[in-house]
Amino acid sequence: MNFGSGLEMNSQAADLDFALVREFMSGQAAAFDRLYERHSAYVYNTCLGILGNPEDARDVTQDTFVQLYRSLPKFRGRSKFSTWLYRIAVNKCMDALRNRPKWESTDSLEWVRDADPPAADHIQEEHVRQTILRLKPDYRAVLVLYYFQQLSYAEIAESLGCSVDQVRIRLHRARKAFRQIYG
Amino acid sequence: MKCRHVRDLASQYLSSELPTEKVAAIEAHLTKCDACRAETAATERALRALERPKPLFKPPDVLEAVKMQVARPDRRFKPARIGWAFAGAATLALAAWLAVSIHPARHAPPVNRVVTESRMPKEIAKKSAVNQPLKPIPAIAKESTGNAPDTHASRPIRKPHGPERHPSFSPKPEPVRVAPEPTIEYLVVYTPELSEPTAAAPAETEAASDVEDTNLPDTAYYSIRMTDNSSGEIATLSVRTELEPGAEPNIIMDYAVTNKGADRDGSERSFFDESMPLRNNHAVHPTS
Repeated sequence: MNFGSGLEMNSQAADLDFALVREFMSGQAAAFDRLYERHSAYVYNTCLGILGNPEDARDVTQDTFVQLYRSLPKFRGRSKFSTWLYRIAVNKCMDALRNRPKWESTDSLEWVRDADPPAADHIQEEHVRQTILRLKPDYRAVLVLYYFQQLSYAEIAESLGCSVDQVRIRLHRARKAFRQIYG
Repeated sequence: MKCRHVRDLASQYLSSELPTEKVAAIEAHLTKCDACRAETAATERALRALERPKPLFKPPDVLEAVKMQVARPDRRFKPARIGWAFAGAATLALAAWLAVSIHPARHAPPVNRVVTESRMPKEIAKKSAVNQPLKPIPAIAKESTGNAPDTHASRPIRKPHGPERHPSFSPKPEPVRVAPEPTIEYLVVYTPELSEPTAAAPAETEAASDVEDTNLPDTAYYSIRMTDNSSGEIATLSVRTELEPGAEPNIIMDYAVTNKGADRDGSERSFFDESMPLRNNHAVHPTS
């Protein structure tokens, strides 16, 4: 499994994704399994960063791949498969945040402690994630895609369905908001 | 450059996203402004924390769940449609049951062979044949539910005996009464319209009823009557079947409720007189 490697930037990876999509479209169901293996960790961690709750992240990851399965026939290859997939994931996250009841707005961060990161970084890591979860959904998404998933402005723009300039402005505002809350 | 400009551009300055001239202006301001220098340092700490590599967590395996979900049609649960679907199914089931159970060709012998119907005594069939009101069929009336004998169900409702008293007069507490269960009667009446009973031997007639007969009755009546013994309310489901040789049977149903509780003077008043077009045939009127 390509676990934790982040978005593959090279064209070889993009070509492999596109080849797998074509295989799937030609009737080879196993190609979908390989697409899932290559991108599920990335999708899940993106959802986790935006939603802040492992259960919600799992559900949205599942919804994302269900949507992917049904939408693959529409994929024309005009954009990178990965950013196209992450756009589905981000949209699903935004839907989940919109539909989330108000009383659930305080996100649980128990999963951060359960994940047991290195002890020295534990407090700061939790503080960062907690701060992000107090931001607007738009700011959450752009910070997670930029700082957690290491996407470029262009890839974020493609994933969020906006222009690069809008990404730059949104990221600037998100940093300022983060700074004010982070202390 | 003013303080608010410096603080506004601090994150971009620290992220090296500003042009050279703005960077120079900010650095010049920071050398002489302690507050902005402290604010920029705090922003830098926040950004460094953001830039620190984040641990990636192993995702739960949802591939099988995804496959199961895509295997199902994409239907959303619509509660409003459930009730309609159930109502439609119940209606169809009732219609099918009625069509099968009361089809004249299956159960109703021709009018001139009513006497051979196994579930109908001859005397009742003869009464039917001369267009008279009928009593409940004993063989079927056994299916009645309730404590009251079936024969009582057809009696007129009587006034209570004794002197009339003021409604408020109550010398003794009312005993606890157990409400009687409703009585259900199944009545089957055949029309005598086509012809009078023939003098043919019953066995011979019965044997002939299974083969084609051009003298089939074209109309038959059936009824299920439910009497609430405590309130006197009566509900009757009446069915008329019309059969023509070579054609689908036509089934006409009617349902009527009458409340005799407010009219306990002993007189019988059939609600069929107004609600059913079966009056002349006395399809069900066992109480008269």
